Amino acid sequence: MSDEVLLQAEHVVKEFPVRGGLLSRTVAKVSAVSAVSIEVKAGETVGVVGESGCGKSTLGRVLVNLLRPTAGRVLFEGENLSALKPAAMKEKRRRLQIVFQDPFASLNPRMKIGDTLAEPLRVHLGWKADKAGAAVQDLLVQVGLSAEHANRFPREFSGAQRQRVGIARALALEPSLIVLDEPVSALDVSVQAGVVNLLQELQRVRHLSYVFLAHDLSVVGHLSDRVAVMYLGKVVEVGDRNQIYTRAQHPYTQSLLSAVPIPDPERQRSRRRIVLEGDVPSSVDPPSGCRFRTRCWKATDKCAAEEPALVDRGEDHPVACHYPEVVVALV
Amino acid sequence: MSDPGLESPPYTEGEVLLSVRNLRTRFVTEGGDVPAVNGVSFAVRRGEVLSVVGESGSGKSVTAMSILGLLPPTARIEADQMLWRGESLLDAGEARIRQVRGAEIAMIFQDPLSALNPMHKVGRQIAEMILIHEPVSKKEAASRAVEMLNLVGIPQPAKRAGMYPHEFSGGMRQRAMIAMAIACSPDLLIADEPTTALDVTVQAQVLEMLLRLKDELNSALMLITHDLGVVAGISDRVMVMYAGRQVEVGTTDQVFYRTRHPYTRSLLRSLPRLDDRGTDALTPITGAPPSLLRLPSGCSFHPRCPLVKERCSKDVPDLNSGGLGHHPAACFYADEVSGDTASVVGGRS
Ligand SMILES: Nc1ncnc2c1ncn2[C@@H]1O[C@H](COP(=O)(O)OP(=O)(O)OP(=O)(O)O)[C@@H](O)[C@H]1O
Ligand SMILES: Nc1ncnc2c1ncn2[C@@H]1O[C@H](COP(=O)(O)OP(=O)(O)O)[C@@H](O)[C@H]1O
Ligand code: SF4
Ligand code: SF4
Ligand SMILES: [Mg+2]
Ligand SMILES: [Mg+2]
Repeated sequence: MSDEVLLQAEHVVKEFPVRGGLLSRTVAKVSAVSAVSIEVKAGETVGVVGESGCGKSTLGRVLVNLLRPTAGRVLFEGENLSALKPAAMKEKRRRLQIVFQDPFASLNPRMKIGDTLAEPLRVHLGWKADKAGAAVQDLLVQVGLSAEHANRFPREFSGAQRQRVGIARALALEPSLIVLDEPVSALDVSVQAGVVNLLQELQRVRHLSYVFLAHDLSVVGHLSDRVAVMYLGKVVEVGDRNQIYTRAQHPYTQSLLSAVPIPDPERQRSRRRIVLEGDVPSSVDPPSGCRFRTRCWKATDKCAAEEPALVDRGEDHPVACHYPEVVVALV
Repeated sequence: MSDPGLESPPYTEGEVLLSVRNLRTRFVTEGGDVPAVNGVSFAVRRGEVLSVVGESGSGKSVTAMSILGLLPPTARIEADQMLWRGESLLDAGEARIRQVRGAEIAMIFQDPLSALNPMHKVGRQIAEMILIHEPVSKKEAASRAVEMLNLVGIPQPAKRAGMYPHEFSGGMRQRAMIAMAIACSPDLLIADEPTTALDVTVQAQVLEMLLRLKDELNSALMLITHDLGVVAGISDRVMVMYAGRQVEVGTTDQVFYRTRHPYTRSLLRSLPRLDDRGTDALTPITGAPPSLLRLPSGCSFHPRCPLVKERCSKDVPDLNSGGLGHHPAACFYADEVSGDTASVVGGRS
């Protein structure tokens, strides 16, 4: 890891219109991502965790410029992505890739895997079929498949193999940063580990940076150097892996950690449990003040009136809570 | 023949509610017969939580649905025995099965919308469930419905009873389905991946509630899941399935701390854990689960097994193969598995 900042999101906001009524006019807006700032250094993995609908995928798409932020900006290699001309963006795209959650939906079912993988090489690098073909065989081997797989169609692959193809496609243009959106969530547990190890190995060999978006805190903790915790479109806590997993200060992070089952019966019996009440509120009409207050056991009047800012209290571990404190034995 | 799945050490002294011996369920399809469940035996006692764990396609749901007669007509179900509180379900008529289902054995599914009718108010659906099975007035049934919603922790239950399923959040729908399932105080609750679609914080609520309800109703819980973490936290006994067969059955501590099947051990080693430091590489299982249409010869796990030997591709191990004096495991070399498991679980703190 180095100190060079590769990707920087500054106060990124992404709103979607909510349509309704007879004329399907815009009746409200969802703030899927509200003023999120994160930084990714070269060779580093930043994990983003949070429950369904908290804005992970939206953030991921904004980070790679597949969605334009409503406000704020994303700098990649120092340049504001939404200000780039198409040609310049195409050039950046080679080094900024994304792998989607559902490996099947993102592969063209009528194209042989080899052609899918060769496409970016032809389009971006102008390579001829034979040169691209040789590179594709290389790529397949690098992600743990074999050269013969090039002639097969997506339906002939298992879920884990398709996910490897998705990773191979992202790697084709030698990126420096890959956003991974739930890359192992759809896989059976026995094959998940293989994909996780592959990601780690590729990072080591190619000095890649990852933004790893997932709801599974165990996988995120395994892969990440730094972790950001999101709740209803906001980052509530950021820190290095151990700060978040052993010294979490935000009540939401604490409740998430305490809710993740650990496959160890004695550990399960001895851990402290924090069982939250209720569900995540709607992001169309988030609670006033602190968005977590409707489920927080520590909430006071101040929490309803005043939104807590994401403040670093000196350890490079920013927390957005009026009453941050460490709780022991959550894990 | 002794049947270790059935006779493995009971966790409680509670009454044997359900006992299933040598269940075989296959589906007749164009591609050939799919042997989804292949000789499964188990018993559930009052008071206990029995978890059934395995990867997708291992036969967990088909096992449960075979008991309740919920499978499509292409299914062929055979068993040496299927006793519900001493009564044979294999010989019971359709009417009797319908009575058992719902009133005595209730099932909770992964997708609550499959069990709730979108056109009817939630309270009415629960009340109807009660009216089918019990001789009570409509008014009584309606007030019991509200009581049930309250019991599963739905706020403002009287108001919520008058709402439709789509007006509920995912977690609330799951709770409403559980309210419907427990409305007639069943003796056995079968929950098939009840929390797989839920966020972890809501999963924790629902699991806690299922345990509480099991105690309040003095019933038993059969929990089907693919998540070994959930299993560790909630079960008294565990049955591990692979490709339609049981591979290991024991108390939770036996299965986690004195593991006797290579598949169970491999699964435990392949999982990233919240409490590991994220430094060690995980140990993946090579290959993928087999297709049931082309099951490997001998032990179905042999192409992926780290301990595989010559015999494994020839003979089919059963739960007796692991030898006497231990909890049941379908492996000829179970003795080689135990021993170093302690370094897998518990050694990473
Ligand atoms: N195109 C869209 N139009 C309207 N609302 C949207 C759109 N995309 C996302 N949203 C909303 O924005 C919020 C964040 O969604 P997003 O998909 O980013 O969440 P997520 O954290 O990735 O969730 P999951 O874990 O379920 O994948 C949600 O409330 C979602 O319904
Ligand atoms: N209606 C059906 N027709 C054919 N095969 C089926 C049917 N239902 C289930 N199966 C097959 O039976 C096997 C076991 O399925 P299931 O019990 O649902 O697995 P799980 O352990 O994931 O619950 C799978 O291979 C599945 O494809
Ligand atoms: S600001 Fe208040 S409501 Fe929000 S997390 Fe902190 S204590 Fe809870
Ligand atoms: S019987 Fe053989 S192949 Fe099967 S689990 Fe045991 S050692 Fe492995
Ligand atoms: Mg998403
Ligand atoms: Mg199932």
